[in-house]
Parts: sequence; C-alpha cells; structure tokens
Amino acid sequence: MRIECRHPDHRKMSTPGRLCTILPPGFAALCFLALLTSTAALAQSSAKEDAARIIALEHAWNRAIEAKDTKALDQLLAPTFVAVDTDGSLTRKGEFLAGIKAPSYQPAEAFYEDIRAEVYGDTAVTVGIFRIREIQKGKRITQRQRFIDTWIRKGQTWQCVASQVTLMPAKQAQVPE
Amino acid sequence: MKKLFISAAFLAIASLPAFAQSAATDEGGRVLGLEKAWNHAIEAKDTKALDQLLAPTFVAVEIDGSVSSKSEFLASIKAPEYQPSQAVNEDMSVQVYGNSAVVVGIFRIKGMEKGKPYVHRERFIDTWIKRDGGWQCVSSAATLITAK
Repeated sequence: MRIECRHPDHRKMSTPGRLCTILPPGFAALCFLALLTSTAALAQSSAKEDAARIIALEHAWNRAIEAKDTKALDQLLAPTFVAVDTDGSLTRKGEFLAGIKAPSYQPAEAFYEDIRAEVYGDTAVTVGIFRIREIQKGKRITQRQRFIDTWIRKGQTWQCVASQVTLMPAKQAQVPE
Repeated sequence: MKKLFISAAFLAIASLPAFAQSAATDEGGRVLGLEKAWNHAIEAKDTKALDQLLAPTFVAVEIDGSVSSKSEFLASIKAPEYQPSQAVNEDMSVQVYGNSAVVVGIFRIKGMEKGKPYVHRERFIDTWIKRDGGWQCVSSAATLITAK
C-alpha cells in the first residue's frame, strides 16, 4: 500500500517518496505530535529554569544590598535601569547605586517573604514582598514593600531594567524598633 | 563592480542600527498610544477595551501594595463605586527591549470613590510584551507620589 506524503515541505525532503511508502499509516503524524509535545515540554522546562535563575538573581540582589556591594549590583542592573521608590521618586542606575553606597544607608537585613516569576521569552517579571530592616536617619525601621521587577535576557544572563516598590499597609509596613 | 558591491554592503550594514533604532521608536510610539487608550478606557469604564490591552497573566500592584490579577483589576474598574472623571499621564517615557517595552510615567487620576472626591498622582511602571504582532501589558505597578 502506498501512503501519500502530504507534508507542505515535501519537495525539500531528501527521500520523501521512499520514506513515506515504507512507514506505517499515521507514523508521520505520530512523529509530528511527539515533536510538538517535546518542544512544548522543552520550552516549559526552559521557562522554569529561567524563572529559577531570576529568583536566584533576586536573592543575590538582597545579599548585595546587605553587603552594600555596588559592584555586584552593577552586574545585576542594566545601564537603562530605573527604580521607583516608596515615595514615588524615580531614580536611574547611577543614583540608585549611589544611594546604596551612601554611609547614611545602613541595611541590616533584606529578604523576600514571597516571590514569583513569570517568564515571557527574553523578558521576565517578578512580583513579591520584600522585607528590609535598616537604619534611616538614625532610626531603626522595618519595612514591608510590594515589588515588581522587570528582567531582560542579556546573552547567557539576565539584567533588571525596572524595579518598583510600594509600601505595604501602615500597620505592617513600618515597625519602629 | 567589486567596489560597488563592497560600498553597497557597507551602506546596508551602516544603516542597520539606524533601522533598528527607528523600528524601536515606532514600537515605542505604538506602546505610548496604547497607554493613552488605557486611560480613555478607564475614563469610560470600558472593560472590553481593557481586556484587549491586558495579557491574561496581567498583574497589578496598587498604591496600597495590594496585588490584583487581570480579572480582579477589571472587576474593580467595573465596580459602580469607582467613578473616575479624568485619567491622564503627565509624563511618560518608553524603553523598548526587542519584544518587550517598559513605560515609566506619572498617572493623574481624578474622580469619586465611596462618595468622596479624590485626585491622585501616581508614579507607574508598566511592562508590555509583543505577541502575534500586538502589544499587551503584563504588569503595572503604581506608587503614590509623596516626594516633593
């Protein structure tokens, strides 16, 4: 029995007729389905890996803040990075790094209570709650902030291009110590 | 002939960055247009238009730090107690990164909520993704401007 090969790229195939005549009916469709399934699974696994990588970078960001390590932060943030602070002010990368470096800024602890990442190809968005204990103008405070960060793939790694924080409700937001 | 070919190749390569920049400018303009459409949709409480602008995975952070999904966001716009009279962007800039774009700006909204008039100025960052030739917003964060 001859099976007709109806693949649209039929003419590009090296041995189309021969291959199609010896294979059982439905084999090509099965192969195609398997290929589609494995491609989708691969994309899903790759997105999961990217999400895990970005969350690891978010944790590295916190460690860099705690250590006031502006060199590490410089690697994490894109040159076009913009940040919106809890008072609605906008800072660019240079100002942001200068703010971290300032002697008056004394963070004691920075960690995430909650974080999740959504990957869209070469872009990712992380949403979560950031908790920071710091000394501001001589006063010890603890703040809980909701954040959204946007990351862009740069070659083998990712860089943050935008970060916005919004203070969480007054009762939980600022706890004088 | 060879010289002509090299010159043509050089011209083509030299014009590539300019072409890429112009394409990014066009896409940036398109995204800024969608931001304006978003404001009109808010003023008109047009959730159908908003549904087109927002991705299914859309997430919003409100000025009180609460998070809402697309459906929650649309429901809040539809709510009878939400009565916006004016929604404008005072300032906006866009940065395009291939198939994504980040918009930063100041959003000014005037209206009535629970019988009380209000005017808010909020700094926002919106992230847009290009899919199937169109742009959709995947995240939007707003922070009340209290800084002088």
